[in-house]
Amino acid sequence: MLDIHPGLMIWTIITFVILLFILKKAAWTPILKALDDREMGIKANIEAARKAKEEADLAIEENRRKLAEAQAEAQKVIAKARQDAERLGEQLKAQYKAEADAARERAIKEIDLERQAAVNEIRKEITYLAVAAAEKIVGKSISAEDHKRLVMEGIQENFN
Amino acid sequence: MINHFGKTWNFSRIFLLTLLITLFSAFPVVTLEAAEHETTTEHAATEEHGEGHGNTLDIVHHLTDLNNIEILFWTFSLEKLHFEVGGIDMSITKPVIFMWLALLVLLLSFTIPFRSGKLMRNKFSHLMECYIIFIRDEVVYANMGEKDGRPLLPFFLSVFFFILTCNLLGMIPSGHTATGNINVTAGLAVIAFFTIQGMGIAKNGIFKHFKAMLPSGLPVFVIPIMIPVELVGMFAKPFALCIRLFANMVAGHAVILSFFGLIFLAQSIIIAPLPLAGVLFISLLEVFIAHLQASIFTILTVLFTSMTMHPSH
Repeated sequence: MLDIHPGLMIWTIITFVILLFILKKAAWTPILKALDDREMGIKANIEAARKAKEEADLAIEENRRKLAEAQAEAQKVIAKARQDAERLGEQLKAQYKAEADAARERAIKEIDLERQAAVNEIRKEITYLAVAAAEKIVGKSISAEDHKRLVMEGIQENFN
Repeated sequence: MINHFGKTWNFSRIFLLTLLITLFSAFPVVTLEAAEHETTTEHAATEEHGEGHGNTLDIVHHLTDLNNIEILFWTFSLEKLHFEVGGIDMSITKPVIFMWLALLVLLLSFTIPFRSGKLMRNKFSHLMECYIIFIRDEVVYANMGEKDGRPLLPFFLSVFFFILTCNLLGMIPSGHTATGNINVTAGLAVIAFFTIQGMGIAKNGIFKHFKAMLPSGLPVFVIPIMIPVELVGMFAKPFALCIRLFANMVAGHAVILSFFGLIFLAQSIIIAPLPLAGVLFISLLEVFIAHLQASIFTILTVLFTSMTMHPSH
Protein backbone atom coordinates (compact mmCIF):
# COMPACT_ATOMS: atom_id res chain seq x y z
CA MET A 1 0.00 0.00 0.00
CA LEU A 2 2.61 2.51 1.03
CA ASP A 3 5.69 0.74 -0.37
CA ILE A 4 7.07 2.24 -3.52
CA HIS A 5 6.21 0.14 -6.52
CA PRO A 6 7.18 1.93 -9.74
CA GLY A 7 5.65 -0.82 -11.86
CA LEU A 8 2.22 -0.05 -10.50
CA MET A 9 2.73 3.64 -11.18
CA ILE A 10 3.68 2.86 -14.78
CA TRP A 11 0.65 0.57 -15.10
CA THR A 12 -1.54 3.40 -13.82
CA ILE A 13 -0.18 5.79 -16.41
CA ILE A 14 -0.51 3.21 -19.20
CA THR A 15 -4.07 2.35 -18.15
CA PHE A 16 -5.05 5.98 -17.93
CA VAL A 17 -3.61 6.86 -21.31
CA ILE A 18 -5.41 3.90 -22.92
CA LEU A 19 -8.60 4.90 -21.12
CA LEU A 20 -8.24 8.48 -22.27
CA PHE A 21 -7.77 7.49 -25.91
CA ILE A 22 -10.54 4.92 -25.98
CA LEU A 23 -13.05 7.04 -24.11
CA LYS A 24 -12.22 10.11 -26.14
CA LYS A 25 -12.94 8.25 -29.36
CA ALA A 26 -15.86 6.14 -28.17
CA ALA A 27 -17.54 8.31 -25.59
CA TRP A 28 -16.55 11.89 -24.95
CA THR A 29 -16.53 13.15 -28.53
CA PRO A 30 -20.03 11.87 -29.44
CA ILE A 31 -21.53 12.64 -26.02
CA LEU A 32 -20.15 16.16 -25.87
CA LYS A 33 -21.26 16.75 -29.44
CA ALA A 34 -24.75 15.52 -28.62
CA LEU A 35 -24.82 17.81 -25.58
CA ASP A 36 -23.69 20.76 -27.67
CA ASP A 37 -26.24 19.98 -30.36
CA ARG A 38 -29.01 19.72 -27.83
CA GLU A 39 -28.02 22.96 -26.14
CA MET A 40 -27.79 24.66 -29.51
CA GLY A 41 -31.24 23.33 -30.36
CA ILE A 42 -32.64 24.54 -27.06
CA LYS A 43 -31.03 27.91 -27.55
CA ALA A 44 -32.48 28.14 -31.06
CA ASN A 45 -35.88 27.11 -29.76
CA ILE A 46 -35.75 29.70 -27.00
CA GLU A 47 -34.73 32.31 -29.54
CA ALA A 48 -37.56 31.30 -31.85
CA ALA A 49 -40.03 31.33 -28.98
CA ARG A 50 -38.87 34.78 -27.92
CA LYS A 51 -39.19 36.04 -31.45
CA ALA A 52 -42.66 34.53 -31.74
CA LYS A 53 -43.61 36.12 -28.44
CA GLU A 54 -42.33 39.48 -29.59
CA GLU A 55 -44.35 39.16 -32.77
CA ALA A 56 -47.41 38.12 -30.84
CA ASP A 57 -46.91 41.05 -28.48
CA LEU A 58 -46.67 43.38 -31.43
CA ALA A 59 -49.81 41.89 -32.96
CA ILE A 60 -51.65 42.21 -29.67
CA GLU A 61 -50.50 45.80 -29.32
CA GLU A 62 -51.61 46.48 -32.89
CA ASN A 63 -54.96 44.87 -32.28
CA ARG A 64 -55.42 46.79 -29.06
CA ARG A 65 -54.56 50.01 -30.82
CA LYS A 66 -56.94 49.23 -33.67
CA LEU A 67 -59.67 48.34 -31.25
CA ALA A 68 -59.15 51.58 -29.38
CA GLU A 69 -59.22 53.45 -32.66
CA ALA A 70 -62.39 51.67 -33.74
CA GLN A 71 -63.97 52.43 -30.41
CA ALA A 72 -63.04 56.08 -30.66
CA GLU A 73 -64.37 56.11 -34.20
CA ALA A 74 -67.60 54.50 -33.10
CA GLN A 75 -67.91 57.00 -30.26
CA LYS A 76 -67.36 59.80 -32.68
CA VAL A 77 -69.92 58.40 -35.11
CA ILE A 78 -72.45 57.97 -32.36
CA ALA A 79 -71.84 61.45 -31.05
CA LYS A 80 -72.15 62.87 -34.52
CA ALA A 81 -75.32 60.91 -35.18
CA ARG A 82 -76.79 62.12 -31.92
CA GLN A 83 -75.85 65.68 -32.75
CA ASP A 84 -77.31 65.34 -36.24
CA ALA A 85 -80.45 63.81 -34.89
CA GLU A 86 -80.79 66.58 -32.34
CA ARG A 87 -80.21 69.22 -34.93
CA LEU A 88 -82.63 67.60 -37.33
CA GLY A 89 -85.17 67.32 -34.56
CA GLU A 90 -84.76 70.98 -33.72
CA GLN A 91 -85.04 71.86 -37.37
CA LEU A 92 -88.13 69.79 -37.86
CA LYS A 93 -89.67 71.13 -34.72
CA ALA A 94 -89.07 74.65 -35.89
CA GLN A 95 -90.36 73.83 -39.30
CA TYR A 96 -93.49 72.20 -38.02
CA LYS A 97 -94.01 75.02 -35.60
CA ALA A 98 -93.68 77.51 -38.41
CA GLU A 99 -95.99 75.51 -40.60
CA ALA A 100 -98.50 75.16 -37.85
CA ASP A 101 -98.30 78.82 -37.13
CA ALA A 102 -98.77 79.65 -40.79
CA ALA A 103 -101.69 77.28 -41.04
CA ARG A 104 -103.32 78.88 -37.99
CA GLU A 105 -102.72 82.32 -39.36
CA ARG A 106 -104.19 81.24 -42.63
CA ALA A 107 -107.15 79.67 -40.94
CA ILE A 108 -107.73 82.75 -38.86
CA LYS A 109 -107.47 84.85 -41.94
CA GLU A 110 -109.87 82.60 -43.84
CA ILE A 111 -112.25 82.59 -40.97
CA ASP A 112 -112.12 86.36 -40.94
CA LEU A 113 -112.71 86.54 -44.64
CA GLU A 114 -115.54 84.05 -44.41
CA ARG A 115 -117.04 86.02 -41.58
CA GLN A 116 -116.69 89.22 -43.58
CA ALA A 117 -118.26 87.55 -46.59
CA ALA A 118 -121.04 86.19 -44.46
CA VAL A 119 -121.60 89.55 -42.86
CA ASN A 120 -121.70 91.17 -46.29
CA GLU A 121 -124.04 88.48 -47.51
CA ILE A 122 -126.27 88.98 -44.53
CA ARG A 123 -126.05 92.69 -44.99
CA LYS A 124 -127.03 92.33 -48.65
CA GLU A 125 -129.79 89.95 -47.74
CA ILE A 126 -131.06 92.29 -45.06
CA THR A 127 -130.98 95.15 -47.53
CA TYR A 128 -133.13 93.27 -49.99
CA LEU A 129 -135.44 92.16 -47.28
CA ALA A 130 -135.68 95.66 -45.94
CA VAL A 131 -136.29 97.03 -49.40
CA ALA A 132 -138.86 94.40 -50.05
CA ALA A 133 -140.48 95.11 -46.74
CA ALA A 134 -140.35 98.80 -47.33
CA GLU A 135 -141.91 98.32 -50.76
CA LYS A 136 -144.65 96.43 -49.27
CA ILE A 137 -145.13 99.00 -46.60
CA VAL A 138 -144.84 101.97 -48.84
CA GLY A 139 -146.71 100.21 -51.51
CA LYS A 140 -145.03 101.79 -54.19
CA SER A 141 -141.75 101.77 -55.63
CA ILE A 142 -139.67 104.64 -54.84
CA SER A 143 -137.07 105.83 -57.13
CA ALA A 144 -133.79 104.26 -57.18
CA GLU A 145 -132.29 107.44 -55.81
CA ASP A 146 -134.57 107.59 -52.96
CA HIS A 147 -134.33 103.92 -52.43
CA LYS A 148 -130.65 104.08 -52.08
CA ARG A 149 -130.69 107.06 -49.81
CA LEU A 150 -133.27 105.52 -47.60
CA VAL A 151 -131.34 102.28 -47.38
CA MET A 152 -128.17 104.05 -46.50
CA GLU A 153 -129.94 106.06 -43.93
CA GLY A 154 -131.48 102.93 -42.54
CA ILE A 155 -128.22 101.16 -42.45
CA GLN A 156 -126.53 104.00 -40.73
CA GLU A 157 -129.22 104.15 -38.20
CA ASN A 158 -129.30 100.47 -37.59
CA PHE A 159 -125.67 99.61 -37.66
CA ASN A 160 -124.05 102.56 -36.13
CA MET B 1 -38.81 11.45 -1.56
CA ILE B 2 -39.38 11.17 -5.29
CA ASN B 3 -36.36 10.78 -7.53
CA HIS B 4 -36.01 12.04 -11.08
CA PHE B 5 -37.43 8.91 -12.56
CA GLY B 6 -40.71 9.01 -10.75
CA LYS B 7 -40.03 6.11 -8.41
CA THR B 8 -40.54 6.59 -4.74
CA TRP B 9 -37.53 5.79 -2.61
CA ASN B 10 -38.35 5.68 1.03
CA PHE B 11 -35.77 5.49 3.76
CA SER B 12 -36.40 1.84 4.64
CA ARG B 13 -35.69 0.75 1.09
CA ILE B 14 -32.37 2.60 0.99
CA PHE B 15 -31.53 1.28 4.44
CA LEU B 16 -32.19 -2.34 3.45
CA LEU B 17 -30.15 -1.99 0.29
CA THR B 18 -27.22 -0.50 2.16
CA LEU B 19 -27.46 -3.14 4.90
CA LEU B 20 -27.34 -5.85 2.25
CA ILE B 21 -24.25 -4.33 0.66
CA THR B 22 -22.63 -3.99 4.07
CA LEU B 23 -23.31 -7.62 4.97
CA PHE B 24 -21.84 -8.74 1.68
CA SER B 25 -18.79 -6.61 2.21
CA ALA B 26 -18.38 -8.32 5.57
CA PHE B 27 -17.79 -11.68 3.85
CA PRO B 28 -14.12 -11.20 2.91
CA VAL B 29 -13.35 -10.05 6.43
CA VAL B 30 -15.06 -13.09 7.91
CA THR B 31 -13.28 -15.46 5.56
CA LEU B 32 -10.04 -13.63 6.22
CA GLU B 33 -10.61 -14.10 9.92
CA ALA B 34 -11.37 -17.77 9.43
CA ALA B 35 -8.22 -18.27 7.36
CA GLU B 36 -6.24 -16.40 9.95
CA HIS B 37 -7.68 -18.60 12.65
CA GLU B 38 -6.73 -21.75 10.77
CA THR B 39 -3.18 -20.62 10.20
CA THR B 40 -2.76 -19.55 13.80
CA THR B 41 -4.14 -22.81 15.11
CA GLU B 42 -1.73 -24.63 12.83
CA HIS B 43 0.99 -22.38 14.15
CA ALA B 44 -0.15 -23.07 17.67
CA ALA B 45 0.07 -26.76 17.01
CA THR B 46 3.55 -26.55 15.54
CA GLU B 47 5.13 -23.60 17.29
CA GLU B 48 3.05 -23.67 20.47
CA HIS B 49 1.61 -20.18 20.08
CA GLY B 50 -0.41 -18.64 22.88
CA GLU B 51 -4.17 -18.98 22.97
CA GLY B 52 -6.34 -16.09 21.72
CA HIS B 53 -3.94 -14.99 19.04
CA GLY B 54 -6.31 -16.49 16.45
CA ASN B 55 -8.83 -13.79 17.21
CA THR B 56 -6.73 -10.97 15.85
CA LEU B 57 -7.81 -9.41 12.60
CA ASP B 58 -5.07 -8.33 10.28
CA ILE B 59 -6.50 -5.14 8.76
CA VAL B 60 -3.19 -3.98 7.36
CA HIS B 61 -2.75 -7.29 5.62
CA HIS B 62 -6.23 -6.98 4.10
CA LEU B 63 -5.39 -3.54 2.76
CA THR B 64 -1.88 -4.37 1.59
CA ASP B 65 -2.41 -7.81 0.09
CA LEU B 66 -2.11 -7.14 -3.62
CA ASN B 67 -1.74 -10.68 -4.86
CA ASN B 68 -5.03 -12.31 -4.00
CA ILE B 69 -8.49 -11.39 -5.23
CA GLU B 70 -11.12 -12.68 -2.85
CA ILE B 71 -14.64 -13.15 -4.11
CA LEU B 72 -16.87 -14.43 -1.31
CA PHE B 73 -15.19 -17.72 -0.33
CA TRP B 74 -12.92 -18.05 -3.34
CA THR B 75 -9.46 -16.62 -3.59
CA PHE B 76 -7.71 -16.04 -6.90
CA SER B 77 -3.98 -15.74 -6.74
CA LEU B 78 -2.16 -13.33 -9.06
CA GLU B 79 1.28 -14.77 -8.25
CA LYS B 80 1.62 -16.19 -11.76
CA LEU B 81 1.32 -12.71 -13.31
CA HIS B 82 4.57 -11.49 -11.83
CA PHE B 83 7.15 -10.34 -14.36
CA GLU B 84 9.79 -7.70 -14.76
CA VAL B 85 10.57 -5.37 -17.64
CA GLY B 86 14.00 -3.80 -17.68
CA GLY B 87 14.55 -4.41 -14.01
CA ILE B 88 11.22 -2.85 -13.01
CA ASP B 89 8.66 -5.12 -11.39
CA MET B 90 5.71 -4.87 -13.76
CA SER B 91 3.56 -7.47 -11.98
CA ILE B 92 -0.13 -7.44 -12.66
CA THR B 93 -1.35 -6.94 -9.12
CA LYS B 94 -4.77 -6.34 -7.61
CA PRO B 95 -4.84 -2.56 -8.26
CA VAL B 96 -3.91 -3.12 -11.91
CA ILE B 97 -6.72 -5.65 -12.32
CA PHE B 98 -9.16 -3.24 -10.71
CA MET B 99 -7.97 -0.33 -12.85
CA TRP B 100 -8.64 -2.46 -15.93
CA LEU B 101 -12.01 -3.30 -14.46
CA ALA B 102 -12.64 0.43 -14.07
CA LEU B 103 -11.61 0.94 -17.68
CA LEU B 104 -14.03 -1.79 -18.77
CA VAL B 105 -16.84 -0.42 -16.59
CA LEU B 106 -16.32 3.08 -18.00
CA LEU B 107 -16.13 1.84 -21.55
CA LEU B 108 -19.40 -0.06 -21.14
CA SER B 109 -21.04 2.79 -19.22
CA PHE B 110 -20.34 5.38 -21.85
CA THR B 111 -20.90 3.42 -25.01
CA ILE B 112 -23.86 1.09 -24.59
CA PRO B 113 -26.32 3.49 -22.89
CA PHE B 114 -25.22 6.29 -25.21
CA ARG B 115 -25.27 4.35 -28.48
CA SER B 116 -27.07 5.85 -31.46
CA GLY B 117 -25.67 9.21 -30.38
CA LYS B 118 -28.84 10.22 -28.63
CA LEU B 119 -29.03 11.55 -25.12
CA MET B 120 -31.61 10.72 -22.49
CA ARG B 121 -32.24 7.24 -23.80
CA ASN B 122 -32.42 5.72 -20.35
CA LYS B 123 -32.02 6.45 -16.67
CA PHE B 124 -28.36 5.53 -16.59
CA SER B 125 -27.34 7.82 -19.42
CA HIS B 126 -29.39 10.55 -17.81
CA LEU B 127 -27.43 10.11 -14.58
CA MET B 128 -24.08 10.06 -16.39
CA GLU B 129 -25.10 13.18 -18.26
CA CYS B 130 -25.57 14.94 -14.92
CA TYR B 131 -21.98 14.08 -14.00
CA ILE B 132 -20.65 15.16 -17.39
CA ILE B 133 -22.51 18.46 -17.30
CA PHE B 134 -21.31 19.08 -13.74
CA ILE B 135 -17.69 18.54 -14.76
CA ARG B 136 -18.12 20.57 -17.92
CA ASP B 137 -19.99 23.59 -16.57
CA GLU B 138 -19.10 23.77 -12.88
CA VAL B 139 -15.52 22.55 -13.01
CA VAL B 140 -13.88 23.07 -16.41
CA TYR B 141 -15.77 25.98 -17.99
CA ALA B 142 -16.13 27.78 -14.66
CA ASN B 143 -12.37 27.76 -14.06
CA MET B 144 -10.83 27.76 -17.53
CA GLY B 145 -13.44 29.34 -19.73
CA GLU B 146 -15.12 27.63 -22.64
CA LYS B 147 -12.43 28.39 -25.20
CA ASP B 148 -9.53 26.77 -23.34
CA GLY B 149 -11.67 24.22 -21.54
CA ARG B 150 -13.33 22.58 -24.53
CA PRO B 151 -10.23 20.81 -25.96
CA LEU B 152 -9.17 19.60 -22.50
CA LEU B 153 -12.65 18.45 -21.52
CA PRO B 154 -12.14 14.79 -22.57
CA PHE B 155 -9.02 14.64 -20.41
CA PHE B 156 -10.68 16.05 -17.29
CA LEU B 157 -13.77 13.91 -17.80
CA SER B 158 -11.50 10.86 -18.04
CA VAL B 159 -9.64 11.86 -14.86
CA PHE B 160 -12.86 12.36 -12.94
CA PHE B 161 -14.60 9.19 -14.07
CA PHE B 162 -11.49 7.04 -13.75
CA ILE B 163 -10.89 8.12 -10.15
CA LEU B 164 -14.58 7.93 -9.30
CA THR B 165 -14.89 4.42 -10.70
CA CYS B 166 -11.72 3.26 -8.96
CA ASN B 167 -13.01 4.71 -5.69
CA LEU B 168 -16.43 3.15 -6.04
CA LEU B 169 -15.11 -0.27 -7.05
CA GLY B 170 -13.74 -0.46 -3.51
CA MET B 171 -17.25 -0.08 -2.15
CA ILE B 172 -18.45 -3.19 -3.94
CA PRO B 173 -18.15 -6.34 -1.84
CA SER B 174 -14.89 -8.17 -2.70
CA GLY B 175 -13.79 -5.03 -4.48
CA HIS B 176 -10.52 -3.22 -4.13
CA THR B 177 -9.79 0.48 -4.15
CA ALA B 178 -7.02 1.02 -6.66
CA THR B 179 -6.80 4.67 -5.57
CA GLY B 180 -6.11 3.42 -2.05
CA ASN B 181 -2.60 2.59 -3.22
CA ILE B 182 -0.07 5.41 -3.23
CA ASN B 183 1.57 4.21 -6.44
CA VAL B 184 -1.69 4.54 -8.34
CA THR B 185 -2.36 8.05 -7.02
CA ALA B 186 1.28 8.88 -7.74
CA GLY B 187 0.75 7.76 -11.33
CA LEU B 188 -2.30 10.01 -11.55
CA ALA B 189 -0.35 12.86 -9.99
CA VAL B 190 2.40 12.40 -12.61
CA ILE B 191 -0.24 12.68 -15.32
CA ALA B 192 -1.62 15.79 -13.61
CA PHE B 193 1.88 17.26 -13.32
CA PHE B 194 2.62 16.80 -17.01
CA THR B 195 -0.77 18.21 -17.94
CA ILE B 196 -0.32 21.27 -15.73
CA GLN B 197 3.18 22.03 -17.01
CA GLY B 198 2.53 20.87 -20.58
CA MET B 199 -0.54 23.03 -21.09
CA GLY B 200 1.29 26.04 -19.67
CA ILE B 201 4.16 25.49 -22.11
CA ALA B 202 1.81 24.82 -25.02
CA LYS B 203 -0.13 27.97 -24.33
CA ASN B 204 2.58 30.45 -23.40
CA GLY B 205 5.80 28.98 -24.81
CA ILE B 206 8.54 27.46 -22.72
CA PHE B 207 10.35 30.70 -21.85
CA LYS B 208 7.28 32.67 -20.83
CA HIS B 209 5.93 29.68 -18.93
CA PHE B 210 8.91 29.47 -16.60
CA LYS B 211 9.29 33.24 -16.41
CA ALA B 212 5.66 33.56 -15.33
CA MET B 213 6.38 31.39 -12.33
CA LEU B 214 8.28 34.25 -10.71
CA PRO B 215 6.07 37.10 -9.62
CA SER B 216 6.99 40.26 -11.49
CA GLY B 217 8.34 43.27 -9.64
CA LEU B 218 10.40 41.19 -7.25
CA PRO B 219 13.58 42.71 -5.88
CA VAL B 220 16.58 41.09 -7.55
CA PHE B 221 18.01 39.66 -4.33
CA VAL B 222 14.79 37.70 -3.66
CA ILE B 223 14.95 35.82 -6.97
CA PRO B 224 17.53 33.22 -5.85
CA ILE B 225 15.23 32.38 -2.93
CA MET B 226 12.09 32.39 -5.05
CA ILE B 227 13.37 29.98 -7.69
CA PRO B 228 13.67 27.01 -5.31
CA VAL B 229 10.40 27.99 -3.61
CA GLU B 230 8.55 28.01 -6.92
CA LEU B 231 10.22 24.77 -7.96
CA VAL B 232 9.10 23.10 -4.73
CA GLY B 233 5.60 24.53 -5.31
CA MET B 234 5.59 23.08 -8.80
CA PHE B 235 6.11 19.57 -7.44
CA ALA B 236 4.19 20.05 -4.21
CA LYS B 237 0.88 20.55 -6.01
CA PRO B 238 0.72 17.09 -7.64
CA PHE B 239 2.30 15.56 -4.54
CA ALA B 240 -0.57 16.97 -2.45
CA LEU B 241 -3.06 15.63 -4.99
CA CYS B 242 -1.47 12.20 -4.71
CA ILE B 243 -1.43 12.07 -0.90
CA ARG B 244 -4.92 13.56 -0.49
CA LEU B 245 -6.61 10.98 -2.71
CA PHE B 246 -4.63 8.07 -1.30
CA ALA B 247 -5.16 9.01 2.35
CA ASN B 248 -8.88 9.63 1.96
CA MET B 249 -9.43 6.32 0.25
CA VAL B 250 -7.39 4.29 2.74
CA ALA B 251 -8.88 6.00 5.77
CA GLY B 252 -12.45 5.05 4.96
CA HIS B 253 -11.60 1.39 4.46
CA ALA B 254 -9.48 1.30 7.57
CA VAL B 255 -12.40 2.69 9.59
CA ILE B 256 -14.83 0.17 8.09
CA LEU B 257 -12.49 -2.71 8.83
CA SER B 258 -11.90 -1.40 12.34
CA PHE B 259 -15.64 -1.45 12.95
CA PHE B 260 -15.77 -5.06 11.80
CA GLY B 261 -12.79 -5.70 14.04
CA LEU B 262 -14.89 -4.62 17.01
CA ILE B 263 -17.08 -7.71 16.53
CA PHE B 264 -14.07 -10.01 16.74
CA LEU B 265 -12.59 -8.00 19.55
CA ALA B 266 -15.73 -8.41 21.62
CA GLN B 267 -15.98 -12.08 20.60
CA SER B 268 -19.72 -11.80 20.72
CA ILE B 269 -22.44 -11.77 18.11
CA ILE B 270 -24.66 -9.71 20.42
CA ILE B 271 -22.57 -6.62 19.91
CA ALA B 272 -22.62 -7.04 16.12
CA PRO B 273 -25.53 -4.62 15.30
CA LEU B 274 -23.59 -1.72 16.80
CA PRO B 275 -20.46 -1.98 14.62
CA LEU B 276 -22.70 -2.86 11.69
CA ALA B 277 -24.60 0.41 12.15
CA GLY B 278 -21.22 2.16 12.25
CA VAL B 279 -20.13 0.39 9.08
CA LEU B 280 -23.40 1.35 7.41
CA PHE B 281 -22.83 4.98 8.27
CA ILE B 282 -19.18 4.95 7.20
CA SER B 283 -20.12 3.15 3.96
CA LEU B 284 -22.58 5.90 3.09
CA LEU B 285 -19.91 8.44 3.97
CA GLU B 286 -17.43 6.53 1.79
CA VAL B 287 -19.72 6.80 -1.24
CA PHE B 288 -19.82 10.54 -0.65
CA ILE B 289 -16.04 10.72 -0.12
CA ALA B 290 -15.49 8.74 -3.34
CA HIS B 291 -17.36 11.41 -5.29
CA LEU B 292 -15.84 14.26 -3.33
CA GLN B 293 -12.24 13.12 -3.81
CA ALA B 294 -12.73 12.43 -7.51
CA SER B 295 -14.14 15.92 -8.01
CA ILE B 296 -11.47 17.54 -5.81
CA PHE B 297 -8.69 15.90 -7.78
CA THR B 298 -10.32 17.08 -11.01
CA ILE B 299 -11.09 20.60 -9.77
CA LEU B 300 -7.55 21.12 -8.48
CA THR B 301 -6.00 19.81 -11.69
CA VAL B 302 -8.25 22.17 -13.66
CA LEU B 303 -7.31 25.07 -11.39
CA PHE B 304 -3.57 24.42 -11.59
CA THR B 305 -3.75 23.98 -15.36
CA SER B 306 -5.74 27.17 -15.66
CA MET B 307 -3.15 28.96 -13.51
CA THR B 308 -0.26 27.93 -15.73
CA MET B 309 -2.24 28.71 -18.88
CA HIS B 310 -3.25 32.15 -17.65
CA PRO B 311 -0.49 33.42 -15.37
CA SER B 312 -1.76 36.53 -13.64
CA HIS B 313 1.72 38.03 -13.33
